[in-house]
Amino acid sequence: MWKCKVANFLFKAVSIKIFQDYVVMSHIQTCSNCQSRLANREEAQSLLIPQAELQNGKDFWPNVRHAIGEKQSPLKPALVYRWRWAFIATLTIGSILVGIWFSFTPTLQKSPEPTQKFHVNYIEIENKPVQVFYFKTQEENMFFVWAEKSEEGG
Amino acid sequence: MKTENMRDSELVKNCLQGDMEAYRQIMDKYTGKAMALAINILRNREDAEDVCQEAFISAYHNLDKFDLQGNFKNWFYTMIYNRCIDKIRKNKRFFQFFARVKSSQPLIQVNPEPTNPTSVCSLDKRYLQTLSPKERLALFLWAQDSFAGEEIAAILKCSPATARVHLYKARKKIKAVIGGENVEV
Ligand SMILES: [Zn+2]
Repeated sequence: MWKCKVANFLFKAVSIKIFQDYVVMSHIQTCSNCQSRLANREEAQSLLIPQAELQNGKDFWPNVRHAIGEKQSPLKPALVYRWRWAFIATLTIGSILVGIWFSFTPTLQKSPEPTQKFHVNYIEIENKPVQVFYFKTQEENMFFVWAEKSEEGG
Repeated sequence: MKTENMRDSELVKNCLQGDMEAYRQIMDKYTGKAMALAINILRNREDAEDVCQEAFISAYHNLDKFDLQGNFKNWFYTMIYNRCIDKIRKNKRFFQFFARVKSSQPLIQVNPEPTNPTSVCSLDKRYLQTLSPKERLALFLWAQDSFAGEEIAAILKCSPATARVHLYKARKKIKAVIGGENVEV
């Protein structure tokens, strides 16, 4: 009896689950006195709502079938699903690289200073000068340069 | 037991191939068990029905994650238990909010006291109030399904030692309630 008191005292005093389990396993589980202070299966079952009472209750099937769709298979596209983290990682790294690239490229895209403007004196194609036409677009800094070979004998 | 697992796995395999009838068979098999588990944790039929319906839908969408060598019942019980815990948290938040509203100026006129007509009345309230959800789960699995500490632990996601302690506390509290003692474990 004193062992039971010690076991119960230790169980309450030391609220560390592993220790409490040790007390249960080493004494309470095998002690008839302590076992008599615990509900047995029948007593527990008498307080629980039994499955039999609920077996013929609500039919979930119509709602569940509606929610999951009549012909939808639960299988996800296996390849994409299994490698989803790889895809996400690749996309993230890709986005970062593109971000870095664009953060450097604006210096190249800036409109050149007037002194650095491209100036065409003449264009040669096949060692022969060709006619050059400039087309100004609506954008201030954009031109089209059109080169046309002179017609043979023209 | 093993053949039951194999039968469940076979049904799951068929579901994965798009056989809806197989899923219906799974549901027929587990509706009673799921409701019993949920209602004994939540103590409310309506909440238990919500939880079961959500769990069946979620289980279907996650069937491809189920290990066909594993135990479907335990996998599904885990799903039910987790949803019960979510439900308890939501209800708690709602009642905290409700209490705040009620204690301040009456923004909403609620009269009479909120009662839940669908509450399970056949259960002994004294017993219900003394057990935590983990203890209720442990007690239910032990009493209804003869689960041991390891199996309870798998569903509670804790160590077998912790699961055994939950069960011990539940059994002790129940005995105290039956014997009319003050509960103190
Ligand atoms: Zn003892």
